[in-house]
Amino acid sequence: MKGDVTHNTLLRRIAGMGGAVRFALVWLGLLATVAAWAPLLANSLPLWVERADGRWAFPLFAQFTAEDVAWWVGWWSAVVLLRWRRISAARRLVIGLGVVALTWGIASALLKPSPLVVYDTWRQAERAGEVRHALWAPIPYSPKDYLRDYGVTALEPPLAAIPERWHWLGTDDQGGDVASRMIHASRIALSIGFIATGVALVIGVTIGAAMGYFAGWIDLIGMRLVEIFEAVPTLFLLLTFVAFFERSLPLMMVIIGLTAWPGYARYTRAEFLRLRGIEFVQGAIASGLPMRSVLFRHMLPNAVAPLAVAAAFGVASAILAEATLSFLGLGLVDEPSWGQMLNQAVKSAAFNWWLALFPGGAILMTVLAYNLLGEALRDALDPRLERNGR
Amino acid sequence: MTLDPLLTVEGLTITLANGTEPLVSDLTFSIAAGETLALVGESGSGKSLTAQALLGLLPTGVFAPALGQATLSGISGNLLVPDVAARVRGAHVAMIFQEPMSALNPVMTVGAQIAEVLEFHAPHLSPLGRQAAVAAALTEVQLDAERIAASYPHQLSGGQRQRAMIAMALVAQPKLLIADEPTTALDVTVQAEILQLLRTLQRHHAMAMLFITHDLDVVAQVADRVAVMQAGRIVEMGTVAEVTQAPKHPYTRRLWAAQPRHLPPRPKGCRQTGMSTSASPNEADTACAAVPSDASILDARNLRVYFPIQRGVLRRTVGYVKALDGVDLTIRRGEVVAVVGESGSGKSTLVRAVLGLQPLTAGTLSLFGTPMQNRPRHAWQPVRRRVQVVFQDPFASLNPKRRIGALITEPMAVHRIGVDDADRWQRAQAWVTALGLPAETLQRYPHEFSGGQRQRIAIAKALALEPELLVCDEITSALDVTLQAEILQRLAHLVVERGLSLLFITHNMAVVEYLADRVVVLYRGKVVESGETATVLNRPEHPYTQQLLTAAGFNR
Amino acid sequence: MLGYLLRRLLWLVPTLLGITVVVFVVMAAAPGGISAATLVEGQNLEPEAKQALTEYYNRLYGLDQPLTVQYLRWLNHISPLGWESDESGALTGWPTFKTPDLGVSFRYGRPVADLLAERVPVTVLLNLLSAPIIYLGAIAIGVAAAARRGSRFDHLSSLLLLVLWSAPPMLVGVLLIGFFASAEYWHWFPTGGLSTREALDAPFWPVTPSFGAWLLLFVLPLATTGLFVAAARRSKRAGLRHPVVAGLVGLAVGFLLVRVTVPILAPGFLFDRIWHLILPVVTLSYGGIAFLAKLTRASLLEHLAADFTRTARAKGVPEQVVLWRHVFRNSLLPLITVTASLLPSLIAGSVIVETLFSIDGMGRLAVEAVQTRDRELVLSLTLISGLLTLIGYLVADIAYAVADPRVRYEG
Repeated sequence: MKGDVTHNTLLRRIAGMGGAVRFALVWLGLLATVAAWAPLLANSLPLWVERADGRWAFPLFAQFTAEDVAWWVGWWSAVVLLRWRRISAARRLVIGLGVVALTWGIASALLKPSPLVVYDTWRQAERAGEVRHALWAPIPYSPKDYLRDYGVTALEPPLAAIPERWHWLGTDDQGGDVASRMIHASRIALSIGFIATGVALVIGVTIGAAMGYFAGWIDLIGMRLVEIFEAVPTLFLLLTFVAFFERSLPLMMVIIGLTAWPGYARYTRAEFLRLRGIEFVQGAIASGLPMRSVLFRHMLPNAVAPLAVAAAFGVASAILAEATLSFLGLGLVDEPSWGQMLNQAVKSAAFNWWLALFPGGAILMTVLAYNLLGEALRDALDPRLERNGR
Repeated sequence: MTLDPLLTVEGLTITLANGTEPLVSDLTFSIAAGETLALVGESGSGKSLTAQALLGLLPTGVFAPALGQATLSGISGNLLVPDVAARVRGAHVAMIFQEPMSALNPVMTVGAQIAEVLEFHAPHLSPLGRQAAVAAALTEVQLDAERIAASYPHQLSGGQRQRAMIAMALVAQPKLLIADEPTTALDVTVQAEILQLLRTLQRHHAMAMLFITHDLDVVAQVADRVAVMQAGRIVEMGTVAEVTQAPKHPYTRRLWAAQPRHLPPRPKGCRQTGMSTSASPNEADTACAAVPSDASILDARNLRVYFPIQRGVLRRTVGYVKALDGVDLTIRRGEVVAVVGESGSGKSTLVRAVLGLQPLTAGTLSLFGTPMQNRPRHAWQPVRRRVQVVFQDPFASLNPKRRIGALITEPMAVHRIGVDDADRWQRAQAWVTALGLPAETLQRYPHEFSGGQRQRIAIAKALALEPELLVCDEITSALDVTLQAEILQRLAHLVVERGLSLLFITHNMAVVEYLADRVVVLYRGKVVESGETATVLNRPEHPYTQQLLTAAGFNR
Repeated sequence: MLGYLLRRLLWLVPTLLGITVVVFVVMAAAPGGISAATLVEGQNLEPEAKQALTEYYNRLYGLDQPLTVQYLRWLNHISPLGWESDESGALTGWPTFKTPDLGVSFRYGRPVADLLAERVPVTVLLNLLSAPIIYLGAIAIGVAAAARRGSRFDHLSSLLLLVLWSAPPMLVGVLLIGFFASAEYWHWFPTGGLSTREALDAPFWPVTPSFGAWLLLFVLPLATTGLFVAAARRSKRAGLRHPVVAGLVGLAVGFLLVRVTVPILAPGFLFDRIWHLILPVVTLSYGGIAFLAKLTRASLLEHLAADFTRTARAKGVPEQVVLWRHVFRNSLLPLITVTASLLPSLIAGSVIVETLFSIDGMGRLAVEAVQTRDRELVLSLTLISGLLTLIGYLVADIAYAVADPRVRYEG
């Protein structure tokens, strides 16, 4: 007995794609792991401290925010759900999102991290001998810790021979540790990528489906809207938004999403137009099936293929858009971002190569990974393969 | 007609590059100058591959180099070797293909494409000389040389494009013409013209022809000798008379028997004889008795569907395409009505109009006695179950994302057939088995099935709703003749067993003769002739009907 | 075809209007909305000056009036066809052609229109230089990869193209500057700007001691290019037969020869400008080349397997002719279509390139405008970028209509 044949065929095809796709998935998995475990990987506060007087403290965990908890729980649910193949992918996604949302809500209510953190507290304490034992994070620097207690620490190359400190990837122009900032920046990169694309998908698919299904004047107006948003170069549109609105992460996500929806609308419209005339849809209507069944069970699942491909590429361009804005100094203020660090590579007279290689390389690898996924999806979902599936 | 062979093929074998099973094995045949050999077979028999191999056109990455020997008299070397094939292509051996639209370069004029042949095979000609030769070639295929030479392929009709292709193939005076299903994509009337043209040109140029087809009617019209292929081998070869009248190989016999004209006559229902010859006579009699035989299923009068033509900058409506221009159609219970039409006749529009998927510009449409023309969607709901449709393209008629079981049972649930899901599943299973499909069909997805199987699934899906009228839109046109025979016979049984009415769209007159009680001939949106099958087929009145029948080989 | 083009031209107007509406809505939806205060804020002005400016703006733009009126007044100001307004802000006379009043930039204290007139041509120059390079490079690589399908060249180039396409222009630009334009590594190129100070006053052509030397400047590269191309065509080895690559190599060799042999006293304006433009143009075009090359390859492969290609081969047409006359001409069509998405990304790319290389173009102006909250400038720049894109669309439409007879003879 064959079981869930389509599922197997698609995954089999992707897995058969070879090294490139596996690289992409490994890199993205690594990124997600790093993002989820970030506070435990890079933090100026130790996980556990045994004071001179014998008392224990858990400074790192005391500063955990709801966001940190949500990311961590999200990672665990992803690990569990990816293996739980018995229920459909869509249902698993919904469960995962629900768990994360629930955790976030509970954590927001329960956790109360203090708003102001003095990063060198425990370092000073250790130097003063007030600490008997301490368990530090592998990279003992927070992203916003500018190491003031060490004096001027700006723009040091990696592994520079400095007696007290050890920076694997060097420091940036403010003195912060690059590795730590990169780890925490991965959160922004990943979340902007998905949420911005999600926003764009919701807008684009709705408008596109309406255009393709109803045609007529809805189509006329919708196409003009699409053309208008496509005619203005994305970056200029983003610049316009940024110029007039304040810069916050959720707003950034929505703004990037607002500039990306036309592509999805076009694909959805084209698919719906094609499906409207296709025999099995006509047959479904002629069989008297209710409209919502025709739309959601017969048309939409068949329209997903080009959208999935476009979404993979879309996540890449959303990440790129955020990096570009940060690079131009127009991104989020003070939050660590790969693009912003890249900008510092050529700011001073010297070429600060580590700020080009590491953050730049991270952007390159992530965009490359999503592009590879997009290409693999495009090849796997080739309609010619569907036709001659046997 | 000389008896020296022009083309000799020995032991031709074709395999996939990474495959072990040969697709074509050990083919041996010969063609004399001026002779036409027809290569006949169903899909997958390897006939097209053979043709392409002879010209070295098989893609090298996909196929291993062809084995065997193919020689053309006057040319040294084995045609299967790429270098030899390159010398021979276009100059000594020419080929015409099935789909004239996609076989011509859309961005070059027809004249330029024909001249190209001369550019490489008659380099001594000046540009003016080439132009003259092109004009001569186009005139020979009965086209208006000046106009067609300057036109692009998309500006021509299917028949014109195929004629242009023929001109292109013949302009360099080849000795052998390979025709790969050249008329399959054309209308029946056009097909007859093209076949006639090919025969004339062949005689005129003393050319040999290798004619590939799956259509046995065409064989009789165009060939001297026939070779029948099955699964990559020639199973029978001989003159047309020998093979058609006294076939020896069981496969050939099966092919011939599957021709609609050679099928045993279908069982007649109670409409015709008052008695049924079906398996369970009691059931049939009760069915006959219960329903008045004159009950009107479909009554359409003066159907008109006009589509506006919009031109110019402001998209003003300058005229109308009259897809249906005053069509009358009636179907009674238990009756099979065939609608015959070629492309542009309006038959697809008729199907959509009858199903309520196409609004009518004018006219009345009554289903089961209730007027239904241009009524809103919800008014159609009670009628939906009673009228079902099966479409032509088996690859587009089933939603690829759902399992067969769900596809069949969902409409059943909507129309409340069966008491619960389990009951519906059982009924679906029964239908699937009745149509000869494997037991696990319901759990599978459409892409796991062949074209013929998908068509049967589509029929099962339609019949599961127990409709009273089944609309069949060219359901067997894309199928091999043996599959077609099977489906036609099943349908004929169902008509009798269930008192089912059929609206059967087709362009194949032989199918009409087998299946239909009445026939309606559609031409450019109008009904040009209608009546009892026997009457129309034996004594056609309208010239178009006569043309159709002659082209289909009825009045010879 | 004329009808098709006319229709496209007519749709340009509502699209442009639509852009203005979108931009205006963004303005209006911003926190603080459009008011004289927000337009004036952030400027270091004395209270009286601020007050006067606030009143001026209120009058000029009717900022105390309902939104639709404001939009119409703003539209009136920026359009080349409209009413003139007098001292008190009221509209006079009949609609005439007038110079669009795009406002005044705070930071520069000059009318925006003047700024645009200076900067837009620079960006247009960058893009006009990049576009043909992108197309030629992409076609050369794409055709080569498609013709050698499955070979090592094909696999390597596919991988390289994918990496290049994924590499953000910021990274590539930074790397190029860091390695080729910095004091630490190779200082082959200038770090930024469009010209050196001296070159602006220098003569157009390079300064040479004699006329003969000046001639050599042109003759040498042409000769070497010709030599290399001829050698390539005659070459027996298939791998060396690519005329375009040979031509480029020849050109490079020619320039090197010139550098070494011909005595040049001063580079002159042209060469200096070219030298400054090389890195920026490379940064702007590499992404487009990678994307289009992949598309070209895919399109060629698709058409290589098409029915009409099989017919051409069956006619006995040699493979090279089939490739260029039949396959390539049909593969061009999707390339032209994709120009529509390439143009906006080129103009957006200019922003990054100009910022990195300190080139005073439209993009850099936009970034500065956002940083200094010079809102009028941002709006005008967004509009101009939209207008440039639409013009580009129109050119692409015309090119497509010319290339595809199905469009030409359809109407």
